[in-house]
Amino acid sequence: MNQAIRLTEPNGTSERRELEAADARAAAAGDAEAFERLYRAHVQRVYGLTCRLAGAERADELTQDVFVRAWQKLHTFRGDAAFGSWLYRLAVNLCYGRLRTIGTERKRYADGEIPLGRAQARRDGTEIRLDFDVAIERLPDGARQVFVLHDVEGYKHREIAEMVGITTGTSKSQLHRARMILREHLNA
Amino acid sequence: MTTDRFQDRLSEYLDGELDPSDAALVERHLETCEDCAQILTELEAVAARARDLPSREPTDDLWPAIASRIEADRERSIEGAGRRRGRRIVLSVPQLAAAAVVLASLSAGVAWMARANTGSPIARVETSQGAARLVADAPEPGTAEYYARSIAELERALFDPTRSLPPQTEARVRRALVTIDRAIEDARRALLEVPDDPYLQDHVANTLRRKSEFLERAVRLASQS
Repeated sequence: MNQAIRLTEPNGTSERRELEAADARAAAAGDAEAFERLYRAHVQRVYGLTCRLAGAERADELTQDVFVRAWQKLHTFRGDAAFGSWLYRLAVNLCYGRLRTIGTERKRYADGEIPLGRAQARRDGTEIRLDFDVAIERLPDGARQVFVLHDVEGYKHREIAEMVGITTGTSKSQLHRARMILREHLNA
Repeated sequence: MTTDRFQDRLSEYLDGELDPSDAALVERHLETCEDCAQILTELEAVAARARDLPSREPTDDLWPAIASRIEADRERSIEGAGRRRGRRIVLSVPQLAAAAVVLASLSAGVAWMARANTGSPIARVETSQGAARLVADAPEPGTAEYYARSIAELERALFDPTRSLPPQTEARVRRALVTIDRAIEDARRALLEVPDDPYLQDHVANTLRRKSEFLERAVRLASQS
């Protein structure tokens, strides 16, 4: 599935948005089937986000936690934004909460010294995309998170700064750092 | 501006984040610097690749596990809707089992308390309004302090030495509380390691809330028997 739809843009047609808002209201009233429809519509995006922010090894658990958390918080969804935007923001916040608790496990990446050699691009169809994902995973923590939120998920620096607790200047410099590292990967 | 300084601004230029005067400077530099022009092209390719990344699918369908968790949540939410509009709790299976055993025994086993409780602390929580009064001057609702205070008062009411429970019932209540207290202790230990984690802060408050709600129901059932 192409991921060209950005988080900050309307999530599909207005009809889809209305249907999802109706499902969210039904789910908030206890309708698990309505919530399953929302899950099916968004699980890939949420799973991709958790993979890229927190690592594939934690993605299953985090994805489950995101949807359970969403179920518990549905009464706070007012419908003035697309359900997807609300859900992804919740997912980002939950990921960051967890990343704070597991931060030490990823410190080895912090200086950006992990070589990209093992993640060299194979320029054959979809594999190159998977390798690009591996290259993203090997970025230093701060650079990876800003890159995922900005270039993959479509958040603005102002929004990233607010979510991550950094300045917009730091967000911009981390993004540039990530792109400079990844550009070497594409050139390899 | 040196070439390095121009390079540092290329992402901002690419994203349209520079003010017009800085953007014009970069554009003029790009006309003469092949290295920077090449880097800009490559940065553009990276951003384009990121936009085209496919979604990733979990290997297994995660819905059954999620459904199981939210179904348990939904049932408890319906059960407690009168008291907690819009709020949901998650109890572990051992906690639910312990609570079920104790509440069943309370229904049948402490009827004698109702016959003798006029003027006792139990009488203060005879109705839901009474229960509300019991914690009316408590700290801000929803906080760990709020639930801790509520728990202390409910425990005093339930285990009032002048109106003690039948020994078997009291033993069951205390065994259930040991299970619940263990969950609270686990949550507190985790929070001590990461004190500013909002998830863990919420978790501690939730475990205390579970205990408070369990005690509240126990006291209410006792007073109604």
